[in-house]
Amino acid sequence: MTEKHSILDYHNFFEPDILMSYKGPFNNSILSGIGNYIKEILIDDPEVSYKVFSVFIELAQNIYFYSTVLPEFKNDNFAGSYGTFIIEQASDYYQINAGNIIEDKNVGSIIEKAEKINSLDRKSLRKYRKEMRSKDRSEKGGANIGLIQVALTTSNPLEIEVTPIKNEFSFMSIKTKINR
Amino acid sequence: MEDIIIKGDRKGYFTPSVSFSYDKGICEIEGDSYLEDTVQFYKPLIHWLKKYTQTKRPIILNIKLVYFNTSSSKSLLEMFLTLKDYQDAGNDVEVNWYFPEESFDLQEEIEDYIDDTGLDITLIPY
Repeated sequence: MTEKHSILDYHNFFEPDILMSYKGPFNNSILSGIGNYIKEILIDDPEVSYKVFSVFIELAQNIYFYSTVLPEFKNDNFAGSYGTFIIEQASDYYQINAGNIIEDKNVGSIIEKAEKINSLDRKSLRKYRKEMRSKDRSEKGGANIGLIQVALTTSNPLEIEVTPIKNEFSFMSIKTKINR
Repeated sequence: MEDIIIKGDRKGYFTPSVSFSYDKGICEIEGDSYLEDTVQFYKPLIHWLKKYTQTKRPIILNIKLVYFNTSSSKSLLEMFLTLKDYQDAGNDVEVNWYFPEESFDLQEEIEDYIDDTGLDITLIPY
């Protein structure tokens, strides 16, 4: 680390209730590495493990599709798909938090979608997933159903937070809980 | 028609094992499906199924997928719709989906596929 970054500060930043945290590029090998790790640490509870794993994959995919890098940090090795992911452990739930930098023009549609998802009951959510799946069949990726899938998996609301960083760019986080 | 045999991977990428046998008329997909470019992975499988439907022979699809992402779920829908058309044209189609009995979410999702496509998928808990 360079002088301006203290590894001790970084280490101390994380409390013991943080089961895992990751900040960096989101690519295939990182995804499979973290995914396998989640399965390993939650092996005693297959249902929760399935849910945490599934939510991780969908939120990671969301980062993959929507994240961007501030122009001044952009270079050949560092083009995009960059984000932060944290799993916290509480006595009766796991909290999952995914964040990334996003272009402001994409913020509105994600918030709109999240609000719609949060307003629907389970039955309507399943119907919504079916509609979107048929509609998006021809398109690449799955981010359009991803957030619906997360809500169905967790049975808890999506909490979206947007913090403006600078012109045209914001930091967006998506938080949700999985009951234990 | 050539058979499709793909060995799945659960250590690196999450690719399912695939076995599509022309002689037996049995297709099997088993494992995890969370890989990134699912469209690319499922394209040859869908193509194979479409080609097979020209033979008018019976077909059995056995699915033992547990983890699959929403991106894979779209390709699965495509396969089911292909088989539904084949069935509607009077051909013999059997689809079985094996799932861990405690996976309530998965069971619900399979039921939604049945509801959505009208294809008769037999749920087999294990």
